[in-house]
Amino acid sequence: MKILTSWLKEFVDCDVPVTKLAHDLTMAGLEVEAIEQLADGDTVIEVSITPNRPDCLSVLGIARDVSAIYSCPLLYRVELPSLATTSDFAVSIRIDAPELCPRYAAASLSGVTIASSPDWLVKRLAACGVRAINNVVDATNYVMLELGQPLHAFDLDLLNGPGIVVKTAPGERLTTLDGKDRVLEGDMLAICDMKMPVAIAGVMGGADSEVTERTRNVLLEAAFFNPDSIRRTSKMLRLSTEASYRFERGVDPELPLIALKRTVELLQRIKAFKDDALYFDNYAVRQELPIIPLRTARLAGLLGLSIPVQEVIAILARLGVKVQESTESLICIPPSFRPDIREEIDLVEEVARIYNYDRLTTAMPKAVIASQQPESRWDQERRLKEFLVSQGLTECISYSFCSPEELAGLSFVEGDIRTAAVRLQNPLTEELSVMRTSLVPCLLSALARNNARGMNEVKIFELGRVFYDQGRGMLPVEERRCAVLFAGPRYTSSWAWSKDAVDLFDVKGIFENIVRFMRLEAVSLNASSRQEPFYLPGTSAWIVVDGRQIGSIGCVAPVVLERFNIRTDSKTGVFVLDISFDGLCEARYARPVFKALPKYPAISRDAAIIIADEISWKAVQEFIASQHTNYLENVTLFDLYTGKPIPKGYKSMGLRMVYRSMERTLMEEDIANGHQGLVDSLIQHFHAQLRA
Amino acid sequence: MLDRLNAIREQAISAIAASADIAALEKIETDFLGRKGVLTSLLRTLGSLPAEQRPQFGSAVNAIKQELAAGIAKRRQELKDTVSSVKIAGLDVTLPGRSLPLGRLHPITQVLNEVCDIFRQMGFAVAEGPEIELDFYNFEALNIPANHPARDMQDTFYVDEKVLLRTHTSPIQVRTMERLQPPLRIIAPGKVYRCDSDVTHTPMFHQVEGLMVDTDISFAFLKGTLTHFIQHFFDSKTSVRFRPSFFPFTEPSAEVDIQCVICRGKGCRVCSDTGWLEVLGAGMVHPAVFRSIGYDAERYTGFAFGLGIERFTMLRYGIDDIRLFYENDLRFLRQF
Repeated sequence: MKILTSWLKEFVDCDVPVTKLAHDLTMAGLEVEAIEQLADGDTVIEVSITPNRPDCLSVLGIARDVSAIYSCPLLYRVELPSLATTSDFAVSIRIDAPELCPRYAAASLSGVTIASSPDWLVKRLAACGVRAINNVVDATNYVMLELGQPLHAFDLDLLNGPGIVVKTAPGERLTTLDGKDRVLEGDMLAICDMKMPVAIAGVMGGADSEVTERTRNVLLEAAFFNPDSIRRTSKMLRLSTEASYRFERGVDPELPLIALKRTVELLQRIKAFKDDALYFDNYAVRQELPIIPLRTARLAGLLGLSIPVQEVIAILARLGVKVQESTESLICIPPSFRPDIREEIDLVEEVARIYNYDRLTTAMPKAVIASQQPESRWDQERRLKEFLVSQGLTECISYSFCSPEELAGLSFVEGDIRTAAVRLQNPLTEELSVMRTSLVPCLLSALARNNARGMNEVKIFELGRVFYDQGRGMLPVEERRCAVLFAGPRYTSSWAWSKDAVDLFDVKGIFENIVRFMRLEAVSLNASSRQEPFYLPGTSAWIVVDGRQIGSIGCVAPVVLERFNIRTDSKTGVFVLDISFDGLCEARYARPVFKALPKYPAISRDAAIIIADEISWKAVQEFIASQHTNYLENVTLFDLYTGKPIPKGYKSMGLRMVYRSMERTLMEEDIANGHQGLVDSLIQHFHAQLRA
Repeated sequence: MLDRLNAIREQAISAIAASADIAALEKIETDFLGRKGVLTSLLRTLGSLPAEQRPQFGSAVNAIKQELAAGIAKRRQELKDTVSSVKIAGLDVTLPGRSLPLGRLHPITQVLNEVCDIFRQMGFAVAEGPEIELDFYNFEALNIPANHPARDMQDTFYVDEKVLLRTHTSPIQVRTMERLQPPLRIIAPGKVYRCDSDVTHTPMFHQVEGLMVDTDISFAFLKGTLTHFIQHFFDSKTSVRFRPSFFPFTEPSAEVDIQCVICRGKGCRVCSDTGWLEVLGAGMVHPAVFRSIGYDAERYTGFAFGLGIERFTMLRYGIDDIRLFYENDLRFLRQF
């Protein structure tokens, strides 16, 4: 809301420098966003008006608050016109929907001279951002800016009947002043003449009865409409005007006649009209003012400060609230222009606002020490993030929405829960139109962006939610997931490290460390021929908790990389870990079990075997475990080799077996037979050979 | 005899000095001080001396033995030091260390954690809730009925007429109050969504909201708690001001401004020359909110507040474009 200070001073006797005025208005809840000096010495202050203060969408409203803040006189007296009888008035006025239009007042003016408005008026309108049209329309806009009452002017001779009916008129059409044809729907309120709609009530007038240079007789409308109704209409038509903006927030129901009189006087002053107007008022449903007790103890308790009662009364009185003292409370009746004051708390705010928040006490609360919740998943999330950072990964945060193409890029099969993405009704763009069902596209996009900007060493993760649609009106299922992506060199190029590129075992190592860090049990990796559709065949494994798949690791298929514009010319791959964080949190916690430290030394024996490529380390491990060799404590794979002189299709596995007894020091002869037996059975079972 | 003794001493001292390695030194030790060493054999001849010379000679031999033992120990240390310095000869200690790679938390996460930590130290517990919400929790229960102009304050992404992306983390407050009785002290961090996108707005951003409810919570406590928070987060000299505002779910409502951290209140581009920056919204919980979740609005009062993490992060680091947060450019992320 732009306010001219010269205009403001016509309504309040207050001589405060404009910068101080701006500061004090801001501190009273009318935030001044800008001050603009005009060439003629006047000043425009731009005030941001919160939705609860429709009264301040006018010069008068701001003047009232200025008067309350500084306790200086308001230069405004209510003047009501005398009313014509129904038979004297030129037009019949009927309200068929009194709940939507509690009041409809009008003035009829005969012999109007349409012309341009005088300069001073045009300037004032312009300063407030309103374009001048002609003297009649300008006068209605002027009074709206000044008092807050939207008005509408009809060319009286173009109204059929002539008569006005305020009603809903579903299905009927009219062309509005912006030249658009509109169809009235449902309970949209219309102003109709005896034949057809001539205005959409409180929103915009019709073109057919517009005031033009040919107009001689004018009907001025000033009404009070139901705010919800105006808002619904404005929303449905996607049409917001100065009038609808005010009506939907709540205009003073006692203002229409005052505003009509003011408009007529203005038209007389600018010589658009000489005679006197006739006034008519149909106040179908009188708007009652609430009676609100304000308990002084409650006020003190809420604010944390006892403001003297006389000061409270004075503040309320300055705001136009009628106050009557009673035992322990003040009986208050708010003014008709403050529809926001409906209950005690509204009065508390008014007192605090004018008293000034900065003068209120500042204190630390006293509270009972209480732990209200067990450790939240938020903490677990935070710890895992910090852990991943310590593992060399950088955290990404992506938008929770993505494009359908990005999700489709992962080739999920039909029936996969991840194809059921939640779609937004009103996305910003198609690129951000569905809620993600996987974090993998987010990290692939981040990789593509970083590669394009010359960053090739990419080790990133994201921990966030994905969403699975559950159907209309239902909340989607939200799942917290964690995704890790590795691409490029394993280490930042340095004298100290190898120049190798990352591989699958980097992400697998991260997975293993997560399991160790969170101390989980029954979490395993299972390779299977059925795998995630976005991995290169044969390069992935499922992460399984208690038989339930909660994620996977794998090497992303080149065709998927291409879809995300990731350069595939590098020989190295892109490796992903994608896991349900909720699933991890639900996995069993492995409480550490203390074992006495061994008192006796171990004996270790190495054996290198040449074994077919397709035999997995897991198979070898499981076979060794199944042999229950005496004293065998553990087996590690200390070497893995392919290439000359190992024949093609075979690999060499270097196994280290560690033997130990908890009761005594083992001698060579204690393990010799067992070890030999184990190696022999390995060779036999896997058709392997001992490596010389 | 004493002459002989002196000659042995001289010989031993020069041999120790000349020894090139530990092995040579150990041989010298054996030759002179060992059980079959020169000095030991000399002591054995003590019986052949006249009785009156024996004590003098004996103590002279022992003195030399002690002297040589000390000399050998000193030389041994010298030789050890030489050995290690030979091994590290030519070392360039300015070479970069062999540090394992270290990642970074996203700056938003870092600031979010820091904000939550300050409130947690004051006894607030973290609460969470769904990011896709029912209209009821996001609006209705917060005293924002359908068709209320306050809905214009937040441009909402809708999924359907009942389901939307939460525009603030306030629904968490409602859900928590449904579940628990006062006294309550919670903070609700999380992602929120509004259809808006420019240099200062992204369609997704992060909020931390807080709520304290008990039988005697006043506006003074709101001012105290938030002033404490701001002076912890920025610095203890930061000026704070509270000014009236409007939120449907609080009353009295306040915007909290801090003295501009860029220009220290003198006026600059960041604070639009006002010297103040708006950083928090707050207020006393509106009784209508208590009524809608079934709390006794006469018995309980409370305060609530909300802040945008992106804004705090931008102010802390002087970041001028909010969109940088969601590009995931490693050159950006690694700065924090």
